[in-house]
Amino acid sequence: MKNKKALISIIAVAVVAVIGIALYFTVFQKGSMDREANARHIISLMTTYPDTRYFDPEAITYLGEGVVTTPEEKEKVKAASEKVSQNWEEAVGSYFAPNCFPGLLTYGQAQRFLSDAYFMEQSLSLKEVTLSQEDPYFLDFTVTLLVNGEERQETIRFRNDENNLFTFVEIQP
Amino acid sequence: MRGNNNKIKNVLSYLKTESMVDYEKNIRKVLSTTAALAMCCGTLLSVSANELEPHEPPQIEERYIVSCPGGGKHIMIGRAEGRIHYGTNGNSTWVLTGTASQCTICNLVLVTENNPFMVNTTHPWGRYALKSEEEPISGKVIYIFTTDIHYSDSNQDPFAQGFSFQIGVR
Repeated sequence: MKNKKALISIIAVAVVAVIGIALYFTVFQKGSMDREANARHIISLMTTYPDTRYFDPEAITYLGEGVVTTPEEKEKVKAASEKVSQNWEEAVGSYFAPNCFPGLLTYGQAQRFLSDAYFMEQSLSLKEVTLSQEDPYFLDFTVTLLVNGEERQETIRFRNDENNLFTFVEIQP
Repeated sequence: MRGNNNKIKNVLSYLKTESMVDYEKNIRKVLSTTAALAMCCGTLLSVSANELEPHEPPQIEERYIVSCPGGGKHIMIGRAEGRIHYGTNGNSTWVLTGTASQCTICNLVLVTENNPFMVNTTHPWGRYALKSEEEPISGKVIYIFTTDIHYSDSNQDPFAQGFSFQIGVR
């Protein structure tokens, strides 16, 4: 009889533990991912210039007519690029779903405004960010930039998974 | 006996009236025409059959466009932000800022005006430039100097269909 009671109590404890773990990984952790705040943070980094942590002129590859690059120069570009990637990852990598963070840089979205400012020798600052559209799986922001003192608007979409982790960031065409 | 035969002959010749003669003539005409038609049709059918007979094995239609020297499509992965400048290094003008991708097989670099990696995108490439490379590129911004800038206004463009854009990490 005692063994039966012990067995029942062990099973009950196990069931409660499983439910608790499941709740932690679904409700509580999802709740801790404030996707809007995270998206606003990413936008602020995409528009903070100059800041060589997130845009380094050393991390540019030049190709084409009239370009000669030595192996040493290639190595410098590689090292600078890795550093920039690392800085972005430390700042916002935890907002992304597994394997999705690299896309922020490799699809050319993170540094669009920063590199424009660099190449065109413009001043760049962020004036306003407005959440314009919302869905369980994406957020659209209207971003107002000040480029050389003039306002310019862009729309950026942040796609996310069921855990509110970003999968894709798109500057809308 | 001979008398009876003569009687029968007389009766038959009596029965062979003018209309019967006409009827026989018509039948002959119809039969000869039918025979002539059958011969013509037979000749025609044999000629057609000869034409339909396969002289060579049927050609196999290609269902993909061979673009990459490695065979098949270019398998493109995202590399960085891409910028196209018209001209040569030191003497150029900015054309566009877009997306740079690179073939994982032959290292061809492509910079397109629109982002071909966007989810469910229907946007064509827009303006684009290509550059052959020997190794994977590492910059966070790719800058191409060129005087060879193209335009693609449709994802059905046969050249654009020679590229497959892979989302993910490699």
